[in-house]
Amino acid sequence: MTVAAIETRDLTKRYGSTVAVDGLTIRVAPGEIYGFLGLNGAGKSTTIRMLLGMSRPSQGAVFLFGGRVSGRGAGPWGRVGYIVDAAHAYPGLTVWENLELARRLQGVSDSGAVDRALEFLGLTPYRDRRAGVLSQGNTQRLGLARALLHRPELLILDEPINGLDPAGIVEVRELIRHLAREDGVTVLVSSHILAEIARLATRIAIIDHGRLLAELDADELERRSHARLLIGARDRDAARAVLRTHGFHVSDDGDGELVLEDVRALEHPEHIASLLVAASAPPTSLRISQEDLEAFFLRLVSEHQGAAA
Amino acid sequence: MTTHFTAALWAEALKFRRSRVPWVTAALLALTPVLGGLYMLAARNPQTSQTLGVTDDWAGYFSLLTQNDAVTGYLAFGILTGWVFGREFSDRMLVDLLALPTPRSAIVTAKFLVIMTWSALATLLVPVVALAVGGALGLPGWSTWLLLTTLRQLAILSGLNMVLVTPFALAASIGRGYLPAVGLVVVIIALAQAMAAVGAGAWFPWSVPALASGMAGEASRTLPLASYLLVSLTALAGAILTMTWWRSADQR
Repeated sequence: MTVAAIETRDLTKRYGSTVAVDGLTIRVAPGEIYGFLGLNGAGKSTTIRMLLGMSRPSQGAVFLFGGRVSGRGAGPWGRVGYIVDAAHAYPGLTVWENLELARRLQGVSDSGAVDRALEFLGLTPYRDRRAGVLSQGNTQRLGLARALLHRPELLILDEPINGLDPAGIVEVRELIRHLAREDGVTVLVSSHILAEIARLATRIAIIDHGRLLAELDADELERRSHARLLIGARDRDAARAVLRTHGFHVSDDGDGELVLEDVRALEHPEHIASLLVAASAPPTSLRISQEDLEAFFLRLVSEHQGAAA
Repeated sequence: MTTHFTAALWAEALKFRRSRVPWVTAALLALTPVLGGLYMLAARNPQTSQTLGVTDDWAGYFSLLTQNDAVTGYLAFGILTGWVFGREFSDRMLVDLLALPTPRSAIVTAKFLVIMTWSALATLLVPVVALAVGGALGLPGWSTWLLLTTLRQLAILSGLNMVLVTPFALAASIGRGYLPAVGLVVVIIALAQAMAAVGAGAWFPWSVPALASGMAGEASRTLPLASYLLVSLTALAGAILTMTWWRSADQR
């Protein structure tokens, strides 16, 4: 069995009576892009802090590359790059100085690493500019440059696209994909922006109130998310009556379309069309809508919260 | 470890150099002899001289200098320490220092070393500016012995003030910013004055430098060894607790 890049076992963090992370057990294989999805306050940042040895677990353990993480020990930090709490920089230092400082603290002996990181992130034109006057997008790039400076094998990014414009978001997404694909970097990326995680991650963990609700890859997501047949009809009442007569449970989607979630309807929508035509209530449209990650996520969270209540 | 420490020292020195705080602390310390010079000008009037309790000569000037330095040195070093530790929180850079091959202990030690080094260098400004001001005023009663005595006094004072800053580093760390440290500096000034006023200054670490400077009179200048021991223990406790906090505290 390959050594996991990240492994947590029963990871728990309590602040007094508040449980921020509750028995979280995950395993991230090398080369994966692991999406860490949750609403604000779900426990993503607390988990990330424990992964990085910044916060001591109340219970359980974190292992990076098979070694147990502890804030006190040396840790595998030369193999890990990270952004926690969005990217920041020393405002009085130039972009180059910020990176040179990071290079030395990372123990990188190659003095050309800074210029390469600047080039890679498109920051060369800002090399001698004070970090305090950079745009948010460029500050984020600087944070990524710092995280990548020592060519880490594992990248832990907490909400890396916060505050970025659409072009910046695409750029970061492509960068993460490139790192995973070309360099085999393992990436754990947290976000509350669901569509972004869906586009990027090879596997997604959904957490709420510190608990892992689901862990799934893209195929599983498709399998587990609900599909619905949406039917448009001029005479909706007539169409609804016909379908009910044939034993279908019909609901409204709120946008003027009828909704069927029955497997028979989903597998053979042409039969539904024939039924309605034969009963003189022909459909004007028929389409299968796959529940997106956002809807799936919200459904999962509300089910979990309902169960907890 | 040496390489890590060298890297941490380089990083701390760079951050320090690029900030305004070296100039602010240097200006604060340089102000001491300049204000002393104004007192000397005022003391040329015999009535004012009597009121102020200083003579308008080198002896009077140097005496005033050591007394004032006990306070300004404390203020300057305290603010400096609060800033060096507190800026990591105000710049939101602390987390970037926590998961690195360079150990946190090396970073904390480098911070203390930068603070001590700059405090010592900035203190050199005090006699240099004093000699220039005293010379410009044409003060009478110069003697090399007097200068050496004053330099020794300033060295002791600054040394005491420098080591007593470690609890401010802890305050900045626990309080997550420089303001709690600056607040503590102010509170301790008030406490030091009160303790000295009730005659318990020898047992309050931060009153010791002022008493040693002769601020409360020549009689109180000689302090028991226990006072200096108390200063050392306070400094040591501050340094150890700051280190422990950086190594063990949860960073939320």
